[in-house]
Amino acid sequence: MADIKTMSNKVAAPRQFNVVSLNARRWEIFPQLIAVMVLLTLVSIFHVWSRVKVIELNLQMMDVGNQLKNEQQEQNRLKLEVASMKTPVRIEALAKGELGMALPKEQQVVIVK
Amino acid sequence: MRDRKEKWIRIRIRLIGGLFAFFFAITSARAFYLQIINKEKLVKLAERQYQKIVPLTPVRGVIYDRNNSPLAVSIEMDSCFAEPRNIDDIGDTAAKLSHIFGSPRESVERKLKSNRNFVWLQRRLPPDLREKINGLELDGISFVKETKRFYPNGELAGHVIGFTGLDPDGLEGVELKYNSTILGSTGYLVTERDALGRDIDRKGTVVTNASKGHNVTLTLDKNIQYITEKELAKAVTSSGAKSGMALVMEPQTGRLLAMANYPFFNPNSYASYSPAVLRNKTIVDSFEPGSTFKVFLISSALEEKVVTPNDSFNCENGSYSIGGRTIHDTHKYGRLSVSEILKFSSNIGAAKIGTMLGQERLYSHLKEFGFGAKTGIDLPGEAYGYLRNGSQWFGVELATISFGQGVSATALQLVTAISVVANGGILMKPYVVEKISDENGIELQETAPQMVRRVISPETAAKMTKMMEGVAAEGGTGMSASVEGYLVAGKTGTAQKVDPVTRGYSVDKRVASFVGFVPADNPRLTILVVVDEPKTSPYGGVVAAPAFSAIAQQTLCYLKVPAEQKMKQKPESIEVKAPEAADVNKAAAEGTIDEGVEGTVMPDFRGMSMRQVLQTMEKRGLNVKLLGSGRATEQSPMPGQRIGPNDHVWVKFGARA
Repeated sequence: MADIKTMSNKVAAPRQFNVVSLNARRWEIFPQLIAVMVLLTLVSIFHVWSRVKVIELNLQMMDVGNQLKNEQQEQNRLKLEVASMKTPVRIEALAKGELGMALPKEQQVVIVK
Repeated sequence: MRDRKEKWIRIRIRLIGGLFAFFFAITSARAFYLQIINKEKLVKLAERQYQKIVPLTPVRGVIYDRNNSPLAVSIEMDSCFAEPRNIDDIGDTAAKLSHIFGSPRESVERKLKSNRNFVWLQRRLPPDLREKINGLELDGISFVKETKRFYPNGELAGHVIGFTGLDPDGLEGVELKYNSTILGSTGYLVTERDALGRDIDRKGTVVTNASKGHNVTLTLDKNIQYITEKELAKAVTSSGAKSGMALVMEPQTGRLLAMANYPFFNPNSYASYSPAVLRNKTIVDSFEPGSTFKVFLISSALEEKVVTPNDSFNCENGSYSIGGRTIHDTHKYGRLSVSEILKFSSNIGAAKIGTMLGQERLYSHLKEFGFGAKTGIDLPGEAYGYLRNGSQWFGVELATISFGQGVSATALQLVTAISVVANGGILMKPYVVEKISDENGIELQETAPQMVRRVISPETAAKMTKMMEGVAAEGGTGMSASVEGYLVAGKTGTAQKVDPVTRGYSVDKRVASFVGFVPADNPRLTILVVVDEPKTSPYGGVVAAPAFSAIAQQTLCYLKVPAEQKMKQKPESIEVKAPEAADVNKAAAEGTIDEGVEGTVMPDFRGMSMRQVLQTMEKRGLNVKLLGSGRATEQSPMPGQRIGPNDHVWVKFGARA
């Protein structure tokens, strides 16, 4: 029994004291803990939101990029159309056929030096 | 009891600790294996899942003429394909698509029912059709970008530009010769994609190895090329000939301003022409030059001081036997000076000058003029021509070569050699590519005129020019080559063709040509016109010379070269088919015909190209309204009907069916 007492004196009694003090300290740091958790959650949400935003913006940029590419293609197509409109054979056909023009003869050309 | 319990606790603690240590070791080992040993493989595996690699088809650069007008451009177009496995209702999809493509429903349905994963439905769609298909929102139908080469000027300079195949490689002409320059390199676009396959993270977009092709600027001038082609076509069709060639060169530099072959071909639809039409005959085919060769004979004889322009030769009244063969002249001549031999193109006179000069000297001079060797032009497939070594000429050969028989040359060799006389005696290397620039227009390479060698002295060239002026002057064989206001120096050529069956000279087949330069005292253009197998007349002076004159006159006018002589005739009034003043608005809106052509019968324009319609209009004096482009599909009035003064005359053009 003496042994047991000794044991309870040595082990049990100080342990009880420690538990009580720890509990008290836990209640003390609880608000800070909550604050940290809230902060962590906010940071996480902000991080996720920013990532989503980045992806969204990237998608938008891709769309605008594609639109730009399409417009450039359209521009190229129009340039091609202009080039095919400017072919000498077409211009001569229009000039002679619709506008009643004719090629000048040698004597009608005066080159101003 | 207590000891045992305590001991057991310790054992349990160690056991559990050991277990944890064991699992930790395993985890560490696995992590080491995955993160360090297998890292590369796994990273690649992951990348394959979230990275998208798009192969970029190389984009060909643009080909421009010397005034920066595009002659060949590449446009990205959408090609439509199906993934039959992803299509729910094949019948419905086929019905909708066949309506848009304008093809039978069965053929589309057959494609969609095939057990392949990927089927092309229509390649290189016009943008409006793409929009229509997009609007239907069909499952399993998608698009991919492909580039298509377009030649906006159609037939213009088709033989020089060449064309490309379905894959973007050049197959002919400049497109082939400069393929590696014009064609960019194939690259890969690496992007990251999300779970839905959408592209994300543009920042990380990497393009590897891709480069856009360089742009090539030619020495050709679109307008001079057009003038040349138009006049060549007129010369060939009006003489009922088989084909024709024409070249326009700047004699001082070797720049080619125009290079035309008739019949033409349209590089946009090259597959519908026979391979013979696609050949650029001005450089790949050689022909016997005939009398044009006398220029080089006499230049050599003058250079060697064997003759002077005033030395005279007996031209034997048109018939002269030498080495067992009799040489004939078209007309009978007695004594002719060297100048006259050239002016009247006497074969007998030329044979005698050749004999005086000797085969070794003639051969070495002809070699110096560039015959029997490639000119080195930057186009594919150039021929050497045929000039046998002088030491191997036998019997009559020296005499026949003197007037251009028994040798062959390409049209390009001929025009380059005549340019020697034009520019004062220097052989220039001909070229068609002026410069190469990158996509931003920064010049990467420029071709400078390249002198090959001096062939004759400036004095000889000047004497020769004076003599050649006689050819286009009153009484010369090339009178119709003269150009009002300018001095023309040239030479006609009429060569017999070799009959492949008899292996002798053909009785009726001839090659008629005219080569010369203008203005003679300060040459700006060297022009060659060759007409193959003309039916109306075999003579170069009749068939080819008028085309020379027309090309020269219009080109000099276009280049604003002032006339150096006074006009011989008073200005002619020419008939301009302008509508009557009161009817101006009506005419501009509807197109009318002149009073003068009242009662003309409407020709059948259908199937003709715009160029042919234009020629017919000119010939008949018609004033027709032209609508659209391509081949003539409809016309009003119908063929054979008489055209009244107030009839609306029009021809509609469209794509060939």
